[in-house]
Amino acid sequence: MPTDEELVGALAAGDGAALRLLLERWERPLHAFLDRHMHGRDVDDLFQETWLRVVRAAPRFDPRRRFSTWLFQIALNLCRDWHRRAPPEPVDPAALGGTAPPDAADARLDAARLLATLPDAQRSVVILRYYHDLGEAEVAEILGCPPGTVKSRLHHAVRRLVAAARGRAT
Amino acid sequence: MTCDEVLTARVLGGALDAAAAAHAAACSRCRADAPAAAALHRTLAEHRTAPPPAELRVRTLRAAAPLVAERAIRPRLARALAATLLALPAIVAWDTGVVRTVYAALTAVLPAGLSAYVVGSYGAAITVLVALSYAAVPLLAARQARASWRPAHA
Repeated sequence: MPTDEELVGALAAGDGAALRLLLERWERPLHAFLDRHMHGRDVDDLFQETWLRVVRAAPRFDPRRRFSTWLFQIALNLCRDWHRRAPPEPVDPAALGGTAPPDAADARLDAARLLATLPDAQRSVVILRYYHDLGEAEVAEILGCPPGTVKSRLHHAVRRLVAAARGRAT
Repeated sequence: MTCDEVLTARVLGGALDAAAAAHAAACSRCRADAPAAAALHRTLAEHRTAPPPAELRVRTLRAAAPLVAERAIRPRLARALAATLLALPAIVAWDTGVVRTVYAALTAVLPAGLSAYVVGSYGAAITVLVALSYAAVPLLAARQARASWRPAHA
């Protein structure tokens, strides 16, 4: 089975099947990342745009890098551009709940609200470390900052989340 | 090991190593934070996202298809251009020879000025034709490559 990095090489040569395989492997993690990062707004459009950028940039991909790191970096840059461009819209709590059962929807709402209390930079670190199980070095590469900054952002984010969760509980 | 590191490890759900566990056991702040960290870990764990809509993959593949096709076409385009450029010196040499021969033949029966005019016009026409042919090569090659790419990858 070809690795993700080999598939990007094939994609750069115009292999449509390679794109299909990459999409099958990464659509769920990428969609989940965008969903959490964007609070469910414009996720499908950003998802599609991320893959278009992957296709455009495939010839410049360094095969020594991990594809996942590169993919999340592209997605994160798109999210940043989106935040710069679009004024924040009010989040519909019902939309955050989705179609999940009521208890799960409440928990999702809580987690989404908690994450929404974080600044973008801290939220990115929490999402990538907690939900995507990426190491500090990889997160640092995605965010374009030193690993020490990732560590401190994570500590600050966790303190803030604990405080927010306590505030909610009281 | 600091309280922040212990708290972060607990929230992320990783097991505490020996040093962290020793610190957590001895530190009143870490003990006080433990229930909140566990609750936060559970809350974050329950934040599941909906799977991507089924049609999103199809939509994405459809949107990316022209870009992928361009990638597939480029090497063929480069090969076509290289092959035709290889023939260029031979074409130029052949046409130069023809022009010289025609000029030599014409000067035998016509004044030199008139012969130069006729041969010059002929040479200019040939140059324009060759230039147009070479300009068409990438366009024709791309069109042909696209036509052959579509049925196989649609």
